Amino acid sequence: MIRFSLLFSLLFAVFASPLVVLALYSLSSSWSYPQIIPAQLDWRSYAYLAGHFRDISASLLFSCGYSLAAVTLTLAMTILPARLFARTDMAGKTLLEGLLLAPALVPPMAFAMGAHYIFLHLGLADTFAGVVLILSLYSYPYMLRALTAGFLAQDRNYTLCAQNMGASSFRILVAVELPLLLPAIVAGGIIVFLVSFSEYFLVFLIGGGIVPSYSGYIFPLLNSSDKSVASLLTLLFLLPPIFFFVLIDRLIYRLYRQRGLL
Amino acid sequence: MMRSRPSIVLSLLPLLIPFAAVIGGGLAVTVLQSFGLVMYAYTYEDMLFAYRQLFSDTWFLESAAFSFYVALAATVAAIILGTFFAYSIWKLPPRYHRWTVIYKIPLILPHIAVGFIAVILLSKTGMLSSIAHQLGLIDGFDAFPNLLYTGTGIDLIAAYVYKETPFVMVMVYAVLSRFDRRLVDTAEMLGSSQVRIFFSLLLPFLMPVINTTFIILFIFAFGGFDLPFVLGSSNPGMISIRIYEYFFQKELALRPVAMAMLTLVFCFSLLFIVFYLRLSQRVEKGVRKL
Repeated sequence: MIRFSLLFSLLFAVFASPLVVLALYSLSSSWSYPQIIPAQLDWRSYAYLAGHFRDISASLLFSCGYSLAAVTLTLAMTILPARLFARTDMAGKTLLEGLLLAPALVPPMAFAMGAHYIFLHLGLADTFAGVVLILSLYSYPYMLRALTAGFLAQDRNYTLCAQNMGASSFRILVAVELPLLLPAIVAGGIIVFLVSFSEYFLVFLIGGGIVPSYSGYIFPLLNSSDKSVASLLTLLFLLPPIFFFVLIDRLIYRLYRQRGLL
Repeated sequence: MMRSRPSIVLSLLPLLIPFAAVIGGGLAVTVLQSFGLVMYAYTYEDMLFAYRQLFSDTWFLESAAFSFYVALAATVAAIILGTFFAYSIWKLPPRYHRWTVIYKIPLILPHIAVGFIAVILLSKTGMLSSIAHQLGLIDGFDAFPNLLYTGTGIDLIAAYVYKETPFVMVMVYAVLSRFDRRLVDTAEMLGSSQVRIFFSLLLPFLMPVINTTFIILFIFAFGGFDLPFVLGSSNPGMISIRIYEYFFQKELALRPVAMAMLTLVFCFSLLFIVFYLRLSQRVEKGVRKL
């Protein structure tokens, strides 16, 4: 118990206390050195939030939109390759797997700045689709790894059973394998969502400031002298991911209950 | 299961086509433009002009060295801290484990948010300075050391450590949870110390995941853009900021210089991966396997 309290306090001090500082900053517009707790609380930054509600919610929605689109696209891109890597032995598999995981290893700037040139010629620069595409190409390795692990853990006999009963390979994928893969999809999807939602540079490069994003909206404010508003908006970054985590958790719980799996 | 060649290729196509177009094509354009090719309407007499420009002065090597130093310091610190925390959590009775999820907070925070947190904590009139003053450690903010925007890169390192440590914890904890605790019990019964258990029993088991994590985090910090961009340009400045300046802020004719830096950063990343894997394999050969 003592060891737990010590460790918990340490973890809190290192990882969570900055959020407390942000919350305090968001509640004070006049903070004079060296106060630790602001002498006067005020709601100015919350008034700013209310005043700019349309801009802020629109940029949040856009960020959530392209992040969820990236989750969908990475799933579509990686599901068949993941099954192949998990189940089939072929020449050069290790090399190919390594090559396909590379986008998570090399600095994204290296291919994104060249890809910007290609996107310009394809008319994808400064478009929502372009942003989704570049984020997907940067983050799909996490989905690929999660799905490959998911397929490896899956009992092959379900697929064989369905095959024996004459199900088509598309039907097997949709009705048997995908539901069993759900935990892996969620695990990979959470990382793809977080990476896409957090990203500033790629959205700014390919979106060109025309595709709205929350990170693009908040960036100029972070460097402004108004620490109070910037603190509040930084805390807002946490809301969409937490909202989706809870939502997905509840949905899966209900789904499993319905199917009698829990 | 044996599968026919066409079906293998078909399965891979949904991934291979966008991979080849965006990653392969993007890298190809980066390399070509670094040699002054496919540069819109510009033509260059000297194909190596961008590379000559980089090495004609010292700023490029200084920035590269600074990025290397920041990435190395931050990653080593995050690995040590993260492994220690993950091990400490693992040693707790399981019923406490779920309370420790607060360590995942930085995983949800974007890099630009972490950069902002670094500013409000570390600036001369920031939170740490205030606390130091209240504790009577310093007389005023003048006495607080300059931590932001300096050549020491303390702000960048601290921010990367904050962001990367939870990642290390997730990776290491996942491997630890597969470790057979009875081996630890046996070692304890045979009278080995906690320190010895950690270094001789657990660490060799953890080395593969530590190596993977090290490579991912090092290259990310080395080539990362968002965090240095929030923390402003220090001198000599991270290499990614130099690339940004040449790409966006200078005239278009100088873009090959940005692309040359990207090409070198890319080649360095590949070399680093190969070199690190070789080195870790050689070190591990000397270690007795369980």
